[in-house]
Amino acid sequence: MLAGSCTVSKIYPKQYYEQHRDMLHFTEGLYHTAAQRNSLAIAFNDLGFTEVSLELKTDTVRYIYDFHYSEPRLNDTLARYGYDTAAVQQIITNMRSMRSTWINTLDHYIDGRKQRLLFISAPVKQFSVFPLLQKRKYYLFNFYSQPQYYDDQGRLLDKRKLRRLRKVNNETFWRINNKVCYTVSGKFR
Amino acid sequence: MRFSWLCLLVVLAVPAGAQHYRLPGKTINEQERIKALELLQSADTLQQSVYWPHITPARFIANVKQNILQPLRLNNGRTTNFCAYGALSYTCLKNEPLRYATCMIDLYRNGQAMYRNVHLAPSEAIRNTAGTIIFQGEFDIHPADQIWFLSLAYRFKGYLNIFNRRYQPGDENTMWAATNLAKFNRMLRKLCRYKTSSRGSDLLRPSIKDLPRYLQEKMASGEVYLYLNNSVLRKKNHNRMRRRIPTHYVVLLSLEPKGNDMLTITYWDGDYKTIKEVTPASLKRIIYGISWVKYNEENNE
Repeated sequence: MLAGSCTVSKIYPKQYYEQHRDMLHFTEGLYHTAAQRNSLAIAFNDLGFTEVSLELKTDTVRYIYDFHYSEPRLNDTLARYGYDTAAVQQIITNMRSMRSTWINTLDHYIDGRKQRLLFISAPVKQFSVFPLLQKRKYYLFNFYSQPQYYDDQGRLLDKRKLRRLRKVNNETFWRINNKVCYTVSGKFR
Repeated sequence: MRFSWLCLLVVLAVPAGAQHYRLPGKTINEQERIKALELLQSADTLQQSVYWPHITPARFIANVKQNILQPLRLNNGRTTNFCAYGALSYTCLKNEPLRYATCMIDLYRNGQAMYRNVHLAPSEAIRNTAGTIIFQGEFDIHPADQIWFLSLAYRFKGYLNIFNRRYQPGDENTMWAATNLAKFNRMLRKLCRYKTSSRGSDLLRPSIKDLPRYLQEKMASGEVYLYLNNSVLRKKNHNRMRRRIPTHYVVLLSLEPKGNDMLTITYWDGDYKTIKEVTPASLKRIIYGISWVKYNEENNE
């Protein structure tokens, strides 16, 4: 779809969002249920979407487990740490169908108060003559629970100082709607 | 004649023997921790520092206190290059919390402080930035950690910092804060006065036959720090070509064999103790540097 190292048009992330809007928001709701007690992050280590990596967080310990997505051990592990197995399985299924590589929450602070945003990423469909040398790009979507501020160019602003851009993982984000914004990055998390 | 040679040998040997290295304790230094908390209690009424205009005394003290109570919760930011300073702080908070607390209070009050013989005197640009760093998660609300990491990064320099030596806001994410292996070892030696040993380098992995056993041996007798390529432990893209360079420092806490030729590695790299299963081959592939200091079986100093 896109040539090797060209920049990614702003249309594509918006198209991706529109195409998967219902499933993205359904996954957002599921994630909030699944990660209510303990934090959870899910990554796909391959673009065939078979190797899933779970990051399960307690107060001070982060457990990282790698599984094949259909492995029974996956459910056993989730159950052992008290996660809603059905909800997490549904998130994994949704991620595979949307071709999403990462889902996580990020803490950030506005006026000293902790806020959480949901972070979902998906690989850009790229074509390369030299796949070995290809540098992957990803759409990164942020889902906020409250409407956010944007400048006239559609860039996400920091609430504390409305002239300052808010950067998440060192990236500037662009408006899709009041609560959802996106960027394109070389890293999926 | 023989007697004079003997005298000469004694004279030469004394300074070498007198060189006093410290050794880390196996567990948290509880006595010092209590003293550090008492010190913070008495310093609770600190005046707003003129050197750190964006940091209130209450937030500062609360942050230092939290570090002493929960050293494993020390956070070094989401995208900063402060991981090496984080690993270094782990040993400071574990073994000498009183010295850390004293240094932090001096740094806040006077804009400069001594940590042992290391003079921390950050520039005005750093003093004006500390407390304002944002978009880094928990690090945003930890102003004392911002002071500490920025001061360490300003004080210690290595060859990776040659092209960016003057701090400007945002440089915590750049090569200004980067740390090569020699610099990391130097920081351990100077700041904590440890006798530090190391294998590996910034570009070539150490050639060690049975790496898991080697690491287990080092861990049994001391603290072990790893300089590693984080792209295997925490994959961030699916590129087929990966940069073969180390990018991250962690404190190794345990390494245990688990059936099916797997190892369970436990390490600390800011905010969390991470537990992950790896194969011996991938462990070998990611480790570029190993630094260790030996435990004192009795007492510190």
